[in-house]
Amino acid sequence: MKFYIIILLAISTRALSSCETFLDEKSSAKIASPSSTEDVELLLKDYGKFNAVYPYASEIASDNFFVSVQHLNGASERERRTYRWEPNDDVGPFWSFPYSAIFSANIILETLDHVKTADLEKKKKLYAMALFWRAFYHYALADLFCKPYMAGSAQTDLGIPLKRTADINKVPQRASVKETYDFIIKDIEAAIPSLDEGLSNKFQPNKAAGYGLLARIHLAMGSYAKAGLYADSCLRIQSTLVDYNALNTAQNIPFKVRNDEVILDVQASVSNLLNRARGRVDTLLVQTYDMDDLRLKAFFIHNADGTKGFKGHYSGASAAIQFVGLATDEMFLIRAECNARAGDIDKALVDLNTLLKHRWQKERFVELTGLDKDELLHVILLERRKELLFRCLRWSDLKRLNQENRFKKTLKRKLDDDDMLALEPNGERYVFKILRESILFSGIEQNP
Amino acid sequence: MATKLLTAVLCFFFLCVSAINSNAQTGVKRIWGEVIDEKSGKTIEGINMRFSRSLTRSQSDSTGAFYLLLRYPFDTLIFSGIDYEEVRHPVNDTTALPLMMELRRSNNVIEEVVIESGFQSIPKERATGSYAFIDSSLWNQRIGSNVMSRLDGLTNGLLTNNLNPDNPTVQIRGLSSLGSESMKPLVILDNFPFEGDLDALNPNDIESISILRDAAAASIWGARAGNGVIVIKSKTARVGQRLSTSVISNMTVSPRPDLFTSNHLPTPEYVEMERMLYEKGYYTARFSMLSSPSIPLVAELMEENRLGYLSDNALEERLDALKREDFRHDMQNYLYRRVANQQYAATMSGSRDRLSFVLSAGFDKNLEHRIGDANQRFNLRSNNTIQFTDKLNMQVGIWMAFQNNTNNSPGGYGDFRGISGYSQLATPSGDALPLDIYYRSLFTDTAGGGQLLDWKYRPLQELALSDKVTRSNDIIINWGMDYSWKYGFTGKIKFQKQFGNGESNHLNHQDSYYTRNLNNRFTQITSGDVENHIPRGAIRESSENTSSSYNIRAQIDFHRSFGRHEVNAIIGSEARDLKNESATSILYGYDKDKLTFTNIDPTTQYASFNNLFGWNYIPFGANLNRYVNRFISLYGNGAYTYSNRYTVTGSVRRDASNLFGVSTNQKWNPLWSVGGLWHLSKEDFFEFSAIKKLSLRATYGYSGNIPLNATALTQINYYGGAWSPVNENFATVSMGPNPSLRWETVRTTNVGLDFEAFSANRLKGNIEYYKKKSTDLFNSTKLDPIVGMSIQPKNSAAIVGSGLDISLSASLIERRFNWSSMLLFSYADFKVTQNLDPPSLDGLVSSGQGIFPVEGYNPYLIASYRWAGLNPENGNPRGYLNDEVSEDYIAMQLNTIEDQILHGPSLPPFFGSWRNTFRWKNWSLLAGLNYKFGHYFRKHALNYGTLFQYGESNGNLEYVNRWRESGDEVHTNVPSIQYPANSRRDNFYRYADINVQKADHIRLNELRLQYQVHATGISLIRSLSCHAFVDNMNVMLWKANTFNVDPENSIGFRRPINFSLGIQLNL
Repeated sequence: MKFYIIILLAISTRALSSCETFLDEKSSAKIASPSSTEDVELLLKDYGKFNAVYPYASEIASDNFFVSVQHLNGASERERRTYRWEPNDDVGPFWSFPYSAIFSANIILETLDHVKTADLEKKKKLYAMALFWRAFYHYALADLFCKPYMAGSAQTDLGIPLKRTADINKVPQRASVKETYDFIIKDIEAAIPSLDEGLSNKFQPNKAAGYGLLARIHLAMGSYAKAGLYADSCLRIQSTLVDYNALNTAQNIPFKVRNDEVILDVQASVSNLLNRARGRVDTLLVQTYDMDDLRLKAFFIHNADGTKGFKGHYSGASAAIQFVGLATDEMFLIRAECNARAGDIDKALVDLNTLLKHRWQKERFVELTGLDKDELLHVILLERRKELLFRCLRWSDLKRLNQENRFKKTLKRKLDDDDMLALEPNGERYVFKILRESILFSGIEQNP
Repeated sequence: MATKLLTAVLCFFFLCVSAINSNAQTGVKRIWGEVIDEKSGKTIEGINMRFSRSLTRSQSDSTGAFYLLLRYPFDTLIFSGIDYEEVRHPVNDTTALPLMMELRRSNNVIEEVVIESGFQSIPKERATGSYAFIDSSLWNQRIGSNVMSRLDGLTNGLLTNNLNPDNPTVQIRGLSSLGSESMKPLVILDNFPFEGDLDALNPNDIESISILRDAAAASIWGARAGNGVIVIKSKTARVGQRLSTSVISNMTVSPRPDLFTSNHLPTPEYVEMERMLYEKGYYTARFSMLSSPSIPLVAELMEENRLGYLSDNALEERLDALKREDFRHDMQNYLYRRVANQQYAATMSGSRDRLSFVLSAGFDKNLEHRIGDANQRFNLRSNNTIQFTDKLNMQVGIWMAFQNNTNNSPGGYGDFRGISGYSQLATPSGDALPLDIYYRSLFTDTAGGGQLLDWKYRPLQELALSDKVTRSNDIIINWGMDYSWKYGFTGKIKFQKQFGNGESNHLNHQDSYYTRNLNNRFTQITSGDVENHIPRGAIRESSENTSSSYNIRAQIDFHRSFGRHEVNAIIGSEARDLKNESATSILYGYDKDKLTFTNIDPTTQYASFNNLFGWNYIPFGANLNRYVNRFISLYGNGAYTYSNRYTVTGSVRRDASNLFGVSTNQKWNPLWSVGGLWHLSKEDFFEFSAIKKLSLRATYGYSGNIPLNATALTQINYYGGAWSPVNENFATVSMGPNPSLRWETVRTTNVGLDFEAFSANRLKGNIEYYKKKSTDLFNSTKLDPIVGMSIQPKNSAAIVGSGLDISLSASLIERRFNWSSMLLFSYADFKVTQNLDPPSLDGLVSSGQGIFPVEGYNPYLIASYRWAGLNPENGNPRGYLNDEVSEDYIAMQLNTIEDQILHGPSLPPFFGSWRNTFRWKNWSLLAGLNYKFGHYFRKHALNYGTLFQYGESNGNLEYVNRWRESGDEVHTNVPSIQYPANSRRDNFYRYADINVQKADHIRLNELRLQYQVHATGISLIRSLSCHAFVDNMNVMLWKANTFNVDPENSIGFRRPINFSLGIQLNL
């Protein structure tokens, strides 16, 4: 009897001691726990997470386009309510996708905290890229769900919950607008020194994109001096403009993805309402393009009913995938505007003319001169509208310009004879409602 | 692989030859016949017979047949069996053959049923746990080629969940887990878990099935037994058994389905609806869309009329012509067929000297009702036991299954989204017609100005060109050795190796729609020059997967009696390794005769035709996967019996697995059970003469379930560049960190009572009551989207269940005309008692189709909006908002659970079957009834939104009864048509309580008529039975609902009936 017990014990101890190695095998070759810089590099190449799902709600609510009642009725309820400026807390991906990207960025940051590697430079660079994305998507949320940055009330205006860790059990409350922008700017500033100066692949953050994003954010905040400086820093690294004279503007998709003007390629998710056949470009806006302005052909497709659809996306995609990343044209316009506001008319004109030279038919272009400060600012702002439409930028422009009486604008939509909608400057609907689920889960404060 | 296959085939051949040799006997005079139980009329297996003079011996086989050689002119044949009284029968040269011997059961003998647990065989007399047992005669009452579908209704506690008819699942005693994989019962084939495709099993190879239902029965299978265990035992041969062969052939015929049994809009109504949609501008956007989405013919005609190309009269004529069509005609005629399925099986078993063997082969050829879909299976099996000495024996077996499926049907009813009521698939002469469900016909007519490939989609052309084949080969080799030592110890080693490989080849012919469409999409035409990036030729998409597993088990059994004490125990350990690898690839420009193909450039984006679809990469689906699951287990099981009256049992098992990210400590999970049994009727004080047997059982214990995709750490998935728009390898976070991951645990308490009354088979049965509590269930938990993941699975739910299983079998008439009856009744009630996933935020409505784990309710709960009738003004559906009649569908979506109507579960809490067998002489008739009570179903309701969008693929006859004018609300509940469709209004109606009714029903599901002869007059054939079997009868004997629909088949067309004819020969 003893003999068997001994054998059995021997078998089981043998089995137990070999267990650990036997059980160490990964259950799937394709899954892993992120643990190395290689894993982090792969996570940062997650285009679907970082580059392709920017919330486009702001474009739907802006004044770049209109749709017919029939097309509106055919759209999803979320787009329909956004277009009609109705309160809507079913914002779905507009709220959750940015946080999903922030979660991945936080996972990367926390993984890198534990990674031991000799290549500290690379580690720093990866860390900086994750910081950039965390800031980029926090800003995307702030643009939609917060009031514009107003120095007077930023301390008390409600910001967004700032997600600083990957812990799925921790849900932060809403910060103030000031805390929100401070957090975003701090992340970008921390990232810039370690980001690559080159633009080898344009879908991952680089130094120019870091400066570009700071310029964009400071412009939105109304801190024009800083915005101008950062746009300048960005343009010093990358200032190539695409000459539209060299484009085949007749093509259905005239621009290629990550073209020479692009600093960082980010796209919004597909919108049904913005589809060429549905979303028609604002007629008054179309009328502002000169016949010799090549953008008229490069940007617009002619509909049978005389309206125009937009085909000028730098995303290189058909229809409704908007480019929302950073490009040099935006930087030229920021620098020009900031210089104009600061009274440096010459510098502003140089930038404006540089940009327009690449947009107009070569032989017909005449440089702009002899404008006073106010005229120039108006021209620049108009060119900004004409250049940066369908980039989800109009919304933040409307928000900041509504702070200046001379630029205030009431948006109007006429659906049919007895359905006239309006959005007053600084109206409540300039701040989107937060996703219902988050309000119910975490008890954070809802926007009015 | 090829060498393995070759070896396997050689082994099989060798065994065949040895089997044939053992049959090479000749005799003087053959005495043959059959032994039958005097009372039940059933044949008896294993009766010994011997001649008193010549001492020649034999034994009756599984069909009760025997034969011996008479060596003397006269002799006395002595029949004896354990449970039967001995009979001496004189025989001589002239004895009439066949000899039909009726034997009488000796008193106080109980039929011994031996249950298989996969680790040991347990006599039912000693089993404390809850086992259900299906013996071969019960099993063979059915014909189907699929094991799981044949189980339904044969045992209690087991419910086939048909809510998704394409993927029926089996539940034992209710639901114990919430995951679609982790809720499946564990299936054991002989000794080891069978992880392969259950369709690969040959049902004619099965000797018996034991179902382990409670913790005491199942906990020996540890962390995978929480849903119950189905142990399938294959046929084996005993040492000393004579050679017997059985051949089975079945033919099943099922008529072409009648698609007109489905509910659809009559075509005239449909045409008028499309006309209305056109007039309202529903298609306006499509006419100007660049991508040219499909536009129904009615709208095209209306547009032509508007533009002046078609006169008003011509338009009406065309529309009238369309109104006379019905898409179901062509679909039924060209895509469906009558089927005839064939099943053949042969089994040979016997023994010689110390070798006993079983050889079997099976072939099934099944056609699906959809033309182009078919499957075939070929099975081979051999199992051999060699007794080296009385103590040492060895078992070697091999099992093979080869399956071949073709899936060439382009789709059937309900598959063509966007089909119109008047769509046609063929011209009257049978030529394939295009179905414009992808692009507008005007576009496919003109695009490319003749420089593109034909861009039309024709389902019938696809059917002719399609070549989609899936093949799989599975081989299991097992080897085992037993050594019986002194003192009642037996040492056992078992080893099993399984290989499987499957390949799926989808050859898209160069003229197939897929190929033509892809070609066109990647074609650029610039000023007459055609540039194309897809090589001309077929596109071959293939995937291959290989699986291999090994199991090794060392076990010591102990069995010993000491006076009135009896001890049975096993202890052992096992290791298990399961690997799966898969690879997929796509080849372009493929030529299947020359095996040539052309390289494409998957890394460059190309502009699509006219830039309709932007810039795209050519699909390049190369994908590789590898999965490894490993388990190590230690287990023990013991039973102590005193005086044959009292038994106590206990078992314990610990499992560990490599499931990713779980620290070793957490991997170990001890699961245990205890049980007791008291044979009350053996007590001296038990003095009820009518009750022959009465025993009580009680058990308590734990088993588990593994959430297979769980991990405690952050999990990322790797993807190849083919999945990325920038063509770079990448990784994405698929699961957040979950440091507290545990196994799911199922605790079961079971009490049971077994009884037999009057005489052994007159009336017997058992009643069992159980309580189950499943905790730590792995369930997706909703998270605040702010954390970055909206859902994450966690150990977060619990289900509590209880139920009753009653089985009764009775021999009601025991004369020449014999009537026996088996009644099964199960009650299984369960509800979710914990769910960390906060309850749904929207007003609770459901159809019970999936699992809906709301705390305090059955997870298959059907819930509805309270219906307040149609609005007499406009025909809008109305409900209640704060007890006020309301049409505010958005607000009602937030109704609290108290405001909703909660009907009950969609799965029946009460279910069972009643099977009656009538025998008269050689005839027997079996009628099988199924019943299900206490559940509900939601009928298919009209949805305007999907009707507009997907056309007749989502049509509903209710449309005809829609509200049209005030007053209609008195006799209809169908809302008025509204344009644009309001999905919330549609959903409100769909989920209103008026569309739910009780699903209770009793159904006559199968009939089997059998004629069996034991004496055929042909000496070679010892018995013959012919049977006619009708399955899927769907004869509704009674139903509770007034919708007048079959609650299990309320959507789509009626399932056709199956008729089978079969023959079984025993040689």
